[in-house]
Amino acid sequence: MKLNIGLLFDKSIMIWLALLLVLQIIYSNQLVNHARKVDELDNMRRSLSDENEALKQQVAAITSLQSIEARSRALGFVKNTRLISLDLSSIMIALHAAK
Amino acid sequence: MFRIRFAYTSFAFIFVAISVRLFYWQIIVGDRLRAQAVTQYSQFISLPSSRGSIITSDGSPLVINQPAYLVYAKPNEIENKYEFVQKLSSVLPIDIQEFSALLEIPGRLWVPVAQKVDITTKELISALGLTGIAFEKETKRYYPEASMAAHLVGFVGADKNGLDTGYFGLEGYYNRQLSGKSGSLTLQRDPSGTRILLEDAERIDPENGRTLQLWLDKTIQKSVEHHLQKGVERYGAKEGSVIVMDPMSGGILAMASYPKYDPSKFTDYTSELYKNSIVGSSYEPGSTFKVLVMAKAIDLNVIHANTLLREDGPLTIAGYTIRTWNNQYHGNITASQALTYSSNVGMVVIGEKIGNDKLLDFVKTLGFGSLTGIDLQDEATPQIRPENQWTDIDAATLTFGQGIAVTPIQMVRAVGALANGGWLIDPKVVKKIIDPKGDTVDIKPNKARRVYREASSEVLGEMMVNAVDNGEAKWAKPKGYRIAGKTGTAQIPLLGHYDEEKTIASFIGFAPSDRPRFVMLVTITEPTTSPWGSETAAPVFFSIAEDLFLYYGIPAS
Repeated sequence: MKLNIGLLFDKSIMIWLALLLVLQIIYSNQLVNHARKVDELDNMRRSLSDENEALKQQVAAITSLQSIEARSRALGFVKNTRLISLDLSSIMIALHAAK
Repeated sequence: MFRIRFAYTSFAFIFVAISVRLFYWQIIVGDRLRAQAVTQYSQFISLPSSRGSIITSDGSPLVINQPAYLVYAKPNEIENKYEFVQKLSSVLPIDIQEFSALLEIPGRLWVPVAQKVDITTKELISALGLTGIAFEKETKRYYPEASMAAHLVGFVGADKNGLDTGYFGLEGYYNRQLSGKSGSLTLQRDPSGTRILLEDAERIDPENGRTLQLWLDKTIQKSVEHHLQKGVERYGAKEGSVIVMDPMSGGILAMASYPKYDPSKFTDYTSELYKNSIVGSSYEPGSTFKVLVMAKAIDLNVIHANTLLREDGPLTIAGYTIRTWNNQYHGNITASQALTYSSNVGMVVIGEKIGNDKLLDFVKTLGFGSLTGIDLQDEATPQIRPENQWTDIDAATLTFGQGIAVTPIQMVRAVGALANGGWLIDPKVVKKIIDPKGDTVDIKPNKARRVYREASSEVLGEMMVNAVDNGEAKWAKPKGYRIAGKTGTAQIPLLGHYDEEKTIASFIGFAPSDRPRFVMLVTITEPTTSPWGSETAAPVFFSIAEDLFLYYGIPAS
């Protein structure tokens, strides 16, 4: 029996196939674009997370007792050396008196 | 016909050839090719967990993470190896010859250059514009308060597989809680390196480590470290340590040893410095132990504060002569005076009233000879000799704290019972464990057992206040405060004898005596300016106590 290929691939089928091919290309293209976007977002998240850690470290360094002590010294504060208590109408108040 | 047959034969031949080739590719070398393909398009990314932080009681960071990088070279991508090494050595301290040799090893795809490189150095390396250099993110520990509480915190080093592991202190004890669990991501990429979005990408999220919130107060810790260092230097001592504990909860408010080390550069220090002597080293407590024996005697009603004791000369027990520390004798003295004068003879008399068996039982009940359970990796305990090995002289010297080895944490815990109404509380460093989602586990104080009646501990508190106000250390005491305390000067055992010159000077106490906020022990090892606790450890104790009164807003009475 002779097979008539022309019957199978008539015009409408060809059009559908072409359309599907175009859709496949568009879909693949979008998928690649989305993947790039996901990669970019992932990199950004990683970089922000690094930045966040670095900032945390800076805050910790600036607020450490060592830094505060150094800054207060530079500003002229001195360490209290004597503790005195004042009896103000039955309220006891403890104060450190500077030299 | 021939042409058709030729075509059929050709097609059949091609079909067989293709089938054979496919059989070869898919069956014979299929596994190898599949594996090769997977390595080409699949990428396995390790998602490291972030190690938990350690914060003080007010939430200030004591240990946090800092971004760092593993720097490595890819020899097959390097254009000019000589230039590569020269440029890299201008930023990183590398051995040029050794590193060049590593790059020349045939077939080597990956050569590590440096670990835990900080972000500034990483940027400097990137600015060199080298091809064949790459970075992998990792973290390293950052200590904003530098070496503060180094012995308590411990440090993070590498294990045998090169992975971060905590050693000593909290880092060691809570290593599993702090380290968390790494995750992973397996994804596929196209030849240009772009990710292929597939549903079967496997992602296992990392579980970050938990944060430890401590009882430690950084203001108190700072004061303790400052005064301890000053004390050790001033008294020409070998070393020293201070521990401050909340007697009600057992929370460790401060803990310091000197000399100390910097945990961020722990390899620069001798490993002997890593050990936390407060929980891991033993010493003979000397006269500070007298308060515990005295309290037991009062608890058992064998004496009261005004019971008269004979102290008219040295005592001889089993051929050994026991003298007072200054060889002065006062005739009849009260029990309270025995503590004030720190009378060894008086204490031996009290020990006899208690009886050897009860004395030894009581030592064990107070937790000596067993671990306190403090949450620090390096805790160790000296053993108490079996009861059948105790002789009369051993029991006699025990009453004034010689012939028994204890750790500083055991002493603080035992004296803490006098400050809190008679309860032996388990000391704890960590107050809360906070998981990455913010859920918190509170670590409740644990009262191990009652070791004194409340009334006995109150009487002892008064006797200790009296010992401070009228004892050898009264000159250093802050005026107007009721501090319960006791000095101690213990000789150091050496090859079965006591060293004649070397001592461990100590002072233990709590304040304010009516409503104690802290119990503190100061030990100064081998002071050279004076061997006595009253002239070395006591002034350090009072200096710290003065800071604490101000910090807690406790006025003088």
